[in-house]
Amino acid sequence: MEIQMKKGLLDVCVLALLRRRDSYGYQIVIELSNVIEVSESTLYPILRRLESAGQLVTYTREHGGRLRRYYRITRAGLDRLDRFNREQREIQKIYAFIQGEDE
Amino acid sequence: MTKRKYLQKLKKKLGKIPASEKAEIVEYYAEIIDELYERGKTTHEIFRTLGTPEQVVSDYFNENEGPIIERKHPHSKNFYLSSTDDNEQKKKTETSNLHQKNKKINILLVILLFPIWFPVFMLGFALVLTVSITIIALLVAVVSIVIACGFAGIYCFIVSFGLIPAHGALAVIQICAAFTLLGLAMLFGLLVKPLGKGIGGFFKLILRKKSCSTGVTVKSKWVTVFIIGIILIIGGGCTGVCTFQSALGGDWHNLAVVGNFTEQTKVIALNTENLSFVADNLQVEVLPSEDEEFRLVYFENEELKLNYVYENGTITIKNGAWSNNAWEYFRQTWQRGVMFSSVVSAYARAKLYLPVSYKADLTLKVDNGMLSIADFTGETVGLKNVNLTTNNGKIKVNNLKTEKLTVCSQNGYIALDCVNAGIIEAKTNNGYLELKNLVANTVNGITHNGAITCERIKGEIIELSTNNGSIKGTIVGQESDFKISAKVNLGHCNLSNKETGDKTLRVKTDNGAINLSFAEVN
Repeated sequence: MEIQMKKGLLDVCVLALLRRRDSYGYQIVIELSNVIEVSESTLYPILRRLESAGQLVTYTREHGGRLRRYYRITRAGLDRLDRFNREQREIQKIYAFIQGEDE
Repeated sequence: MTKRKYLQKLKKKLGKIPASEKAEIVEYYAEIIDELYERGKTTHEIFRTLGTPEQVVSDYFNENEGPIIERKHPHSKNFYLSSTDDNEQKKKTETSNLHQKNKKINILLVILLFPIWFPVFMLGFALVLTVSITIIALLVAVVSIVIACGFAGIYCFIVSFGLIPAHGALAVIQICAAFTLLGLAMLFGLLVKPLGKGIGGFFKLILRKKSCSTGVTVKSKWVTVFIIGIILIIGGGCTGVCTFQSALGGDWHNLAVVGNFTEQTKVIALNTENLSFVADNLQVEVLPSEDEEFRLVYFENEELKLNYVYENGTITIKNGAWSNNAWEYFRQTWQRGVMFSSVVSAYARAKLYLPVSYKADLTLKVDNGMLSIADFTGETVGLKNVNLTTNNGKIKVNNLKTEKLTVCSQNGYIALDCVNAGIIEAKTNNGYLELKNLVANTVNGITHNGAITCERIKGEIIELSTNNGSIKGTIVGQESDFKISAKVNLGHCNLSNKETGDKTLRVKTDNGAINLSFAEVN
């Protein structure tokens, strides 16, 4: 997949996953890898980017004698998902243009 | 690779990014490793899944085109999905304005609280500096001990083999000493790594504000070296001491196989008015002779003759070629043992007997050795000019009556007691001066690094000066008799300068106190 595009899509995929339920790093990788190719090392910058943009927050919970960091989607994150969905028609138009199906 | 090592390597590869960001990354990967481990993956599989620390770091920088924290333009092209959003941009500028305001307040606070935080900061800085210098000094000391013991041990071991045919017992003692030295080197060597780690740990602690484990893991190698070191020390020490006691009768003079030392006596027919004595390595004692003879008594080894020359009123004694020739010296050590030279130097002493009736100049000059002169007193003034010079050694003068006494040492202290002279000059660079019961017109005591102690000095002009040391004691007379000039740079001074008085007292020290009192003595 086009690398720049994939970057943006990964952001949205992570947010979409977190909308279903809060999750932690490894779990996110496992679940997303069914949909889009992602590794532990590519996920980290995405999580940090989303966090610094205020689209997700983190909290820790104890698990088996250690702390596990969970990620929860915020209002801003949900807004971004909504915006992405609204842009669906626009994107489809772009796809049609690229494939030469317009006119 | 262990989890700890992997994370450490990761931390290192991340290079210069903010510490908080680095900690976040490490925490993230630590959690991932734990998760994989809990799911029954082997370490090998885990690190294959994650990739090498280098790959992880390159992914990190590629994804961000630079670390996230340093990102100045959040809407640059790689975040194109959000770049169309004007609202968000507005929000961002608002928050950044707020940040700027906060920044201004922070700067103001920093300036206003300067008197509080600056001393605290300096205190912390001084503490850190002290601790780090102490640890580094310890490390340097330990490394020096290791190198010294190691080299000495190896030298002693090698040199001992030449000695086997001449003196087996001595060779055994030397080899034992070599083992002991090597054992010591090993034990101290064990301290080098923990100390080095201690320094590393300390700096990490300071720079990252985060505790990190500096615990030394006890490994089997460490234990082995420790045990071998102890065995070498105990084994070598015990065997050596036992051999020394049984074979050499516990007498350290026997440690050098250099034959017998015999006492040599030279009667000097003085053919000039004045007498001088020059030697390189000799301890010289000048004593009154019971008869009217000039006599020199010294020890000589039958195999290592000293060069004795008497010419034009000058006695010269020099060591044989062995002490100046490195190759000859090594040959002697190889054949006679490591302790050889020190035993020889213990015998390097001479006694010069002068008749009490001798009334002329006396000059003694040696490179390395102590000089002393004692018991030349009489009704009339005896010796004229007495001049004692040594580079490395102390000078002692007791009960002397002379016209002029000049003593000079580079690295040794000078002790004068009961001296009656017209002029007394005592000069040393690195040593203290002890002046007791002096009667003279002029007393001049100078040292650079050492204290000056006086007891009952009587003189018309008394000058005492030192750079680093205190001056204390008693001067014969009353304070009102003296014109006083006292100078101190750092230290207390109990004298006050004054311009009137028949006698002169000049005292000077740069770093040290002056504490002189006046006393009348009959």
